[in-house]
Amino acid sequence: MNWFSPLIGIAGGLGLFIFGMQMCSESLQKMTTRRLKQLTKLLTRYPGMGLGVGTVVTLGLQSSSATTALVVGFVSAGLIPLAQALEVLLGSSIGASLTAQIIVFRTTDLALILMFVGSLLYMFSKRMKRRSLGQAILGMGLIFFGTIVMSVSTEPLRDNPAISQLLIALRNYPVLEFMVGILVTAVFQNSTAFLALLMTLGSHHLIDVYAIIPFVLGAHLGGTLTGLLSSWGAPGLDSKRAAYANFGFKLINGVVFLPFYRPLTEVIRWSSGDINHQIANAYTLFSIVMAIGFLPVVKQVAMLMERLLPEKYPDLAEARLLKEDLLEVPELAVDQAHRQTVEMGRILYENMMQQVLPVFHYLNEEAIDRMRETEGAMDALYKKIASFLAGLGYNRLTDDLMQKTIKILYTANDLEHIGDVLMGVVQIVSKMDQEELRFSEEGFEELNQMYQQIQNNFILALQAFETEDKALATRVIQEHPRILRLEKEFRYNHFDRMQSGNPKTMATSSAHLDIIEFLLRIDGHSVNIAQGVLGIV
Amino acid sequence: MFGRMNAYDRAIVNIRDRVLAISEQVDRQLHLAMRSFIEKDETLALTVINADDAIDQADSQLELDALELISIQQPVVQDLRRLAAAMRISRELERIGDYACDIAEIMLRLKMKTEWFKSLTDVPRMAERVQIMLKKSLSAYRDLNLTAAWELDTDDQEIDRLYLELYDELTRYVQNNPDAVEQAFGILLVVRYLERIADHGVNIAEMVIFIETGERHPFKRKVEPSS
Repeated sequence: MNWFSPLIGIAGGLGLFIFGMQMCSESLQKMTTRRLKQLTKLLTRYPGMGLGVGTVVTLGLQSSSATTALVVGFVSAGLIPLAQALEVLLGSSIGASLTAQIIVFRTTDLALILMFVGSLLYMFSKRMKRRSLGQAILGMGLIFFGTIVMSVSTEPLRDNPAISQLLIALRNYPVLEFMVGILVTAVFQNSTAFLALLMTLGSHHLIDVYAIIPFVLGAHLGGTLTGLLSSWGAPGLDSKRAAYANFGFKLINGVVFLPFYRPLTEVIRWSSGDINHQIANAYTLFSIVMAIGFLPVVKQVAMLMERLLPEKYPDLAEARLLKEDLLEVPELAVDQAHRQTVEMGRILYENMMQQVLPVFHYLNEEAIDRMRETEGAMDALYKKIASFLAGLGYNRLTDDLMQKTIKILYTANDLEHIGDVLMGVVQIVSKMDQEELRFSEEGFEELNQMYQQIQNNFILALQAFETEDKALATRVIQEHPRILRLEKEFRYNHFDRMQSGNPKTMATSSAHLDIIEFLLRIDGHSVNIAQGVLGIV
Repeated sequence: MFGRMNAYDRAIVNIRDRVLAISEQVDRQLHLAMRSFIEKDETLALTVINADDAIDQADSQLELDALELISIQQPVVQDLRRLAAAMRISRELERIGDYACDIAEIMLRLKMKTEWFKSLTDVPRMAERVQIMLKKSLSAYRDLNLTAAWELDTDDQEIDRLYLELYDELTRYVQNNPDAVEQAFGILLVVRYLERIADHGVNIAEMVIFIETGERHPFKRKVEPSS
């Protein structure tokens, strides 16, 4: 039997599917993100509202992880309390299951029509909104088409005895099926993609109806793992709390219902005769069951999570690595000052640099207050590092150590300046918000792009400083001309937009140019830091 | 000759003159900041810091007016370049003004009770050179003098050399006189700022060449100056 074509079919089909989902999700996010702020007002008005919002938003964004990221952003920004976020998360599970319900109705014709209409809109529309819509429709077409590719190419597997034997053997081990569901969903980072694969196998009678529930329960749980993993790296406790609670909901769901998979399968069977529908229905069923089960207790769960992961208010300005008694050993002291400066850079990165873009999307005073606080901490840290370094016994310092000392002093000084510049950016944004000005779509995209680049270059410079990696430092410096070109291009794009009389750009011109300028300045500091690593003072 | 200029041409010349006016303010700020540093004059340092707002405002007003001209008048390429350059140079000047404040601030932070550990002759000399460079870049801008603009790159290399000399001297001095370290740190930062100010002078010269040729980074420097 030819294994190659079914396998390549699954791989390619899945690729199309996931790419389609991403395309859909990205474009819909572009179209809606800035209106989502209004949604949060709705959320806090009625209890249980989060469930509906979560369902609709996830169905719209085509991605429960996008919804999760958004809602966690809202919580971190203090726009909604954790309990409401949990409602949204429960709803997002239902939304994802509705996507699965839609996939059941895939046909080649529909897929091709969607792809045709989508690409027409995308290619020939001049308006940003229509292009995004086209992209979303094209994405939806790709989703359908991907599942069809999988389906067609795996057809020969139906008659393969080895496969059926393996799957029949698996049938006696629902726990194993549950695990497979978790694992595959976690690997795909997408429960809907796993459901699509299940439907493909199901249509060829490659999986048994009794396997559906274990797989689906696994898919529910596996879908929360990505969020759990990414919350470890994320700043702020709320993202961790939300991710853990979401994981907990689905773990309880799996553990409680897995033992009853046989009687529950009868329910699924009763719901439809077609295995595609049965899979989608099973996923929807558990989403609804979880919503009913957990909705009444979201407040308690939120309180529990707050108790399990309590807030720690670290004093950002505390130079915990600088111990006076270390000054006796200059090598160690300089090392500590180096580490303290790296930490200063991290605080700057996490508490300010990463917070600026969210503030662009939805301005909130609390986040700005926190940034202001961090900026104050930067000043304080810089002073502490400088005076710590001044306390070294310089008559015993080797030339090397002396050079390193100045390098640290200069870098800490650069970090402090970056803090000031970032605060300047935020002030511009907040002034625009007061005057109810908005950037044009294109202008916003450009600022976004440039911001990402200078952010990447900064983190590279900080790494180079931390590891004293000269190759990395060289990369930072080489990146700078590219950012300069970008700056020039955007500046002139901007003039073009002004001359074509886009009124939105007119009103926000000065702010736009100022921010570009500020970003360039930040990159200049990254270059300074990298130059220090290379020994250029 | 002015009689024949229309309102639009006059507006463009006016923008240029305002840039030059800002440059005079900034030049004065830098001068006062250095004086406050060398003479340890805290009152003067505060005066410098307080005067910075006026420069920031002049710069943003200039930007707004230039932008308005761009949007209303739809300037031809040459005029667009002039306006873009004016905004850019004004912004470079505003940055230099910030550096003047940074220098004044270092002085305030040092809270010096004692005299300077050595008579500061090299630092003011470097500052003077930097200011001459700035003046040169601005007259190149006023007269659109390309020859002078091209010379700025060489002048900047001279400043870089001076900076490295002072850097070496100061670090060596600290190793032999550990008591002077705080002061030396302060001076090390000041000379670094001066070196960056010179880089901004080069940026201004680049804009002069840009007005005439449209070339954005004629000097193709290894590294762009910054902050």
